[in-house]
Amino acid sequence: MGWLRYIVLLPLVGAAINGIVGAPLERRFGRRVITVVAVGVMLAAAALAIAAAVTLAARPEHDRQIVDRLFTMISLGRVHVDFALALDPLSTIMILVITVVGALIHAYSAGYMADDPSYWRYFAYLNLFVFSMLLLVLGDSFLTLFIGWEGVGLCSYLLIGFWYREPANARAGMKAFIVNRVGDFGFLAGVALLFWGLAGSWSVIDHRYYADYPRLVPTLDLRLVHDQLAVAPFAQAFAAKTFLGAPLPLVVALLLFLGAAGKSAQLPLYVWLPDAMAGPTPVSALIHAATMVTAGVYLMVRLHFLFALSPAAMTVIATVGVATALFGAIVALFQYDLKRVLAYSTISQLGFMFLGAATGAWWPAMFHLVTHACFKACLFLGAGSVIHGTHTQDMREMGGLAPLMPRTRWSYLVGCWAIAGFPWAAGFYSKDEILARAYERSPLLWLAGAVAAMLTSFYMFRSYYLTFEGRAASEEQRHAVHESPRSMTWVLLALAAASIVVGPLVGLPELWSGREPLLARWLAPVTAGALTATPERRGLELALMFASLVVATVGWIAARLLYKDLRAREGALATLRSRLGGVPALVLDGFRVDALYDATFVRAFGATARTAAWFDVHVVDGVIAALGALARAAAFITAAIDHYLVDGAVNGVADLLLGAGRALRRVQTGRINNYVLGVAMGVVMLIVLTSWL
Amino acid sequence: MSAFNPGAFFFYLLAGVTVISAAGVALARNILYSAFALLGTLAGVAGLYLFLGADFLGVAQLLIYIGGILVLILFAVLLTNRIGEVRISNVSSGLIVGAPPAVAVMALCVRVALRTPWPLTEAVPAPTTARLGEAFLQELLLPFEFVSLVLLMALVGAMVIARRAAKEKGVR
Amino acid sequence: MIIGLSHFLVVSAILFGLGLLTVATRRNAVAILMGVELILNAAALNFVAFSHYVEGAVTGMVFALFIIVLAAAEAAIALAIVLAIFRHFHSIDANDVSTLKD
Repeated sequence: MGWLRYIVLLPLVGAAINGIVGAPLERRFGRRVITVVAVGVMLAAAALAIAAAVTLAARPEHDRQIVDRLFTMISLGRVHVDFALALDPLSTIMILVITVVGALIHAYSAGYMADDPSYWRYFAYLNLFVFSMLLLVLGDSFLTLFIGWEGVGLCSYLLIGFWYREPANARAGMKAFIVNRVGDFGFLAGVALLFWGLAGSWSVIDHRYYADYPRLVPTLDLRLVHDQLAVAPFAQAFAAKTFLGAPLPLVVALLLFLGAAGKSAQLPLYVWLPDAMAGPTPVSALIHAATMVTAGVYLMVRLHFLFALSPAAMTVIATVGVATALFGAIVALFQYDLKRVLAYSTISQLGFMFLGAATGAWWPAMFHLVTHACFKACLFLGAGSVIHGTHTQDMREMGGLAPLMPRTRWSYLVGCWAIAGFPWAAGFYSKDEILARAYERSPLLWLAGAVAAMLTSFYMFRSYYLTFEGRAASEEQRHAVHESPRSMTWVLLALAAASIVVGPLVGLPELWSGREPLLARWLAPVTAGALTATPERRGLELALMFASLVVATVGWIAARLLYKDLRAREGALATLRSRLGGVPALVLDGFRVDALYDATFVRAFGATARTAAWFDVHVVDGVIAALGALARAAAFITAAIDHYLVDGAVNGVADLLLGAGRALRRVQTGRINNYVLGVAMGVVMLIVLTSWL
Repeated sequence: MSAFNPGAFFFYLLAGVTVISAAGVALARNILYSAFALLGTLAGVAGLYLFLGADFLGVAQLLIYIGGILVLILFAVLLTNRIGEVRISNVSSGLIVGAPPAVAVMALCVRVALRTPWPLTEAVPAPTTARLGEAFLQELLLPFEFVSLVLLMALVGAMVIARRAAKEKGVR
Repeated sequence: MIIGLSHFLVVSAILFGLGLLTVATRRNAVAILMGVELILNAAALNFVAFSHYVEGAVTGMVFALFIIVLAAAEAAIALAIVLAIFRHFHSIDANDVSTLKD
């Protein structure tokens, strides 16, 4: 299968053309050429990806594997690391999402970035990103995967800081890069420990086993690691190893999760994602919603056999995942920046995916990844369309946009519908599946997830009502705002359609259709053995489904009550507030809750900062002053030493060098003969030294 | 020593001519003698080439070295020394300092030559001219063309340098 | 006694040593050039000997041929330089031509 590489190489070619000769091309032929190149390679890559998926689907289930070796990167003793690409059902899903959503977003960007001075640079970065991302998901070894992993980080940095003249944007890019470094450290350390652990586990394999297990060689190959860990005595030996007193599988799994958490913005390392919204909105849609941030989830599903070795790590990851889901949802409640709402929402949804993966629900996690890519891209691009029209990201300056931007409004509404998890839209099926699996693991996990789902529904509809419903913020905005160009809106409609269609298409629950969902069957070869047998739970499943429907509805109704027509409601809210006093008003009125949130957190930070400042002035400064006095005293002494001792020494050295120079000058005779002799003697000495010493 | 071996005899003859005249190049008092001793060395090396079955190379050595380079060197000798002078100077300086490193290098090379187990093949004597021609016009075409470029540049460069010298003389 | 590879290597080593001696001790620029020619010949002889005894093909001879050609180029250039030096300094003693030293 030699053509697999072209899926990856096409975007690289596009990036190279636009990056190297983009500027002259643009000057000579106009921006159309840049667009044609960038979108063209993406369309070609998407077509190839679909062709690859069809090829793979035509094969029998056990043979769904296409490998394309390009060259050998490392060959050290028994370790051979090829630069190879491998397509299996899991990476097929990823490349379909990347190329199809990527192509749509490229097309959308052509309209969105039409007036930007650095048009070619933008598309060069974007194509480069797609190349790296494809390398990440198609890479057959940890090393290839890591190249893609770092590549997407680099492109993310470049694109967050795309408008680098604004220092805040450049800082945001830097922040993303540095936070990701922490994750990358975890990833690298995890891979190194895995390599070490696997290598150390051969000793238990008796030599007579070697004939039976010829694949037990040191490797960085993903599938080979999988096959090796499938050998029972080998896996036992690996699981029994310890590192610094902790079981090795736990350490490796947690380190790899640290890497995944960095890339996928999970709880300790999520901080870069909200700031990443400094980049252009299509970038936020492609990189920080649909593809790159899901790399962590992909990594986890890809290495499910490794994570499955350590139930403790799975518990930790599930807890972190559900905590992130809740946290992101809570923070998103109080945001006024439209893009930040979506950013926190992404963090929250990624938490759901990790919750799914960590409860062994591999295919629902991937399912949610796919549906999330569709509806979050749709929402982000809708937000981009709004920002394009209103030139602001603050939802308080929006409102009443529904009649002005009908296509944007409908697609955004569909996106909200999908993410909130109403039936027939994508989020319903995927989120439900994850929550059902979480319930089997522990009802507590389910409860937390359900609360997060309710909050999701609330804040998404809040953002919708604030933006599109109610009255316009100002009269001149009513006249200034217009629908975005057709090149942008058709992408919105396409993604909105996908948000509805994808769910039932690939993940219709067994309960409804009577057969296993398409995606589960598709992924079965990859996650075989990891799937827990699902018990008969018809009634429970129906109940959970109904519960999540209730949850979504509650969130929606609350948002509608509060934000449907903000200005009409403000008077009523004010009277209510005065009658009931402060406390219930805080609960009822979103503004006051925001204010409370601001007050508590900001004041807490302020207090902390003031304490720190006091500490700084009184303690640190005092210490520094004392140190200063000490230093002055020391300086006095050293000055004396300097004058008599050091100067003397320095002058002495100078005199010595001068004398040596005068003496050595005689060596430079200016005679060719002497130089030749010197060379000859040097050669003799070299040969003698190297051969007899 | 066993029976008379014409191959060995010719080898020692050629090697002797080569080495003795090379010593003449290195040690002769008169530079004209040096130049003529170089003739012996080059001819000896050409003979050794023929002995090794490199027929084309031997002839090329004779043509280029003796017919071209040696004549060039003789030219230079005669241009830069007054013929009338009885002793045309070719002073060696520092023979005591210069000899040891040269001898050391020589000894090292000899040692390596004698100690190393060379992977020998059966020597197949065959005319080489046709094979060289094929090599130059097929796989080695590019280096071949590069060498012609180098020669052209050397030609132009030598003319430029010599001309500038002539101009300077004209000014004076 | 069969004439083998090492015989040629010894001859070329001696040739090389004498060339080095010439380059190292001669003061006449033209004589130094002659030393360089000796060294080049030693190297070419090595190539041909290895080509004959070890390789059994013509690659070594190709190298020797290139050496001859480059030696011709080198001689032409170097002698032009010697002429220029002679015109400038009225001497080709390498010791006199050391203005770069000061």
